[in-house]
Amino acid sequence: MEEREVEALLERVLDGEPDRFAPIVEAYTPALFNLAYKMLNGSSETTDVVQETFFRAYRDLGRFDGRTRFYSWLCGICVNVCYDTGKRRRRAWDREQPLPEEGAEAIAVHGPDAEASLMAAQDEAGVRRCLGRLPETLRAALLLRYQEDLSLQEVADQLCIGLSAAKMRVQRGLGLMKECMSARLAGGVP
Amino acid sequence: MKPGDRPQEDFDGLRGVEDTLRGLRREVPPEGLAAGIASRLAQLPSPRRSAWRELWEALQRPQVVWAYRLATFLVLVGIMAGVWRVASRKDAVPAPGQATPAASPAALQTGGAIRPSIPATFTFYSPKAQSVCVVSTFNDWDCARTPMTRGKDGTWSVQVSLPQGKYEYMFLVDGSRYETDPNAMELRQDGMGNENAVLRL
Repeated sequence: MEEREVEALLERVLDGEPDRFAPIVEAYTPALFNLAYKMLNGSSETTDVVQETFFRAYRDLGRFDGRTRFYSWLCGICVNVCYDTGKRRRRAWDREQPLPEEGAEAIAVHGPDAEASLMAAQDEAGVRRCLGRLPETLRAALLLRYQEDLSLQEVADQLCIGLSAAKMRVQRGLGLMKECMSARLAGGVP
Repeated sequence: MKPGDRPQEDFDGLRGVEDTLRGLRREVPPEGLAAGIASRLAQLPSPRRSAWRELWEALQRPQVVWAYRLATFLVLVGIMAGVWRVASRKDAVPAPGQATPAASPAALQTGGAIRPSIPATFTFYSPKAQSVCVVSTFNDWDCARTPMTRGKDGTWSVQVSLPQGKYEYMFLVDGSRYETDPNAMELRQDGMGNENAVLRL
């Protein structure tokens, strides 16, 4: 859905036509579902998170100032709802400890050929597993950047951090992903 | 990814991970999820613009912008007119009890020449006095020509119309005691140890 079309619909919603929000829900539900699913490692609470995201967006629509893309704003809300959900089920997440910041077992992989073979060796499930083991702040940054195609500035805006911090999180997340996938390839990580 | 976005990233050796993440299969929501959410949202109160946003948008409307400019222009004109008026008058705003000149379209004929006359009100607070009058250069210091009338609160007053000019005056209380206007903006020594109040019209 084009941003102009979204803005026009939002204006009509705020002008007293709430049913104009339905096409927006229809358009963005798949993207938010994908984001929430990966943020929550496929939890059954994903649909609740998507619903809560739209509820919050609808409730606070009057405060959306249009300085960012509406989709970007929605992603930011969704990540926050995921954080809230994650806090509630922290105990259940204990068995999925995040990767240590330093010293993850990794095999030495250098050069474009070696890297290409490494990536090719990763199966989808393995990548998801590595993604799920990241700290949620890094996972959020990677998903917003590479799955939802937000710019680094939009990632920064929606995570309420500076551009350099967003870049650092993405880089750190990519580094940990590489270590995790390398370790999986070497059989060091289940 | 947006055009030109890539150059700001320089994650050496991580390009493969980036591509892997981009290539992750997207999850598909269960059928009917969007419709269900939309139907639940329809039961909620309609969202409204925040008061600040309403105000900001109202201020951005062209007609309001023009009204603003017009109002600003009128205020500036008013300020300039006020400054000009104050600057053109030697005396400042009079205090209560002071002789108060006021503009008047009336004219006073003196010696064949027509000169504008300006009403001036003299007031003097003296609740115990039996009589008070104004003695001045405009009435040849003759008390009988400008007697004052006592108000309920003990303030004596009289209004006269005078040609533009400078006048010295005193209040004569009970026919024997001269009092200087305590609220006069300007005073002048009379050469006999007293001070006359000065009224400029």
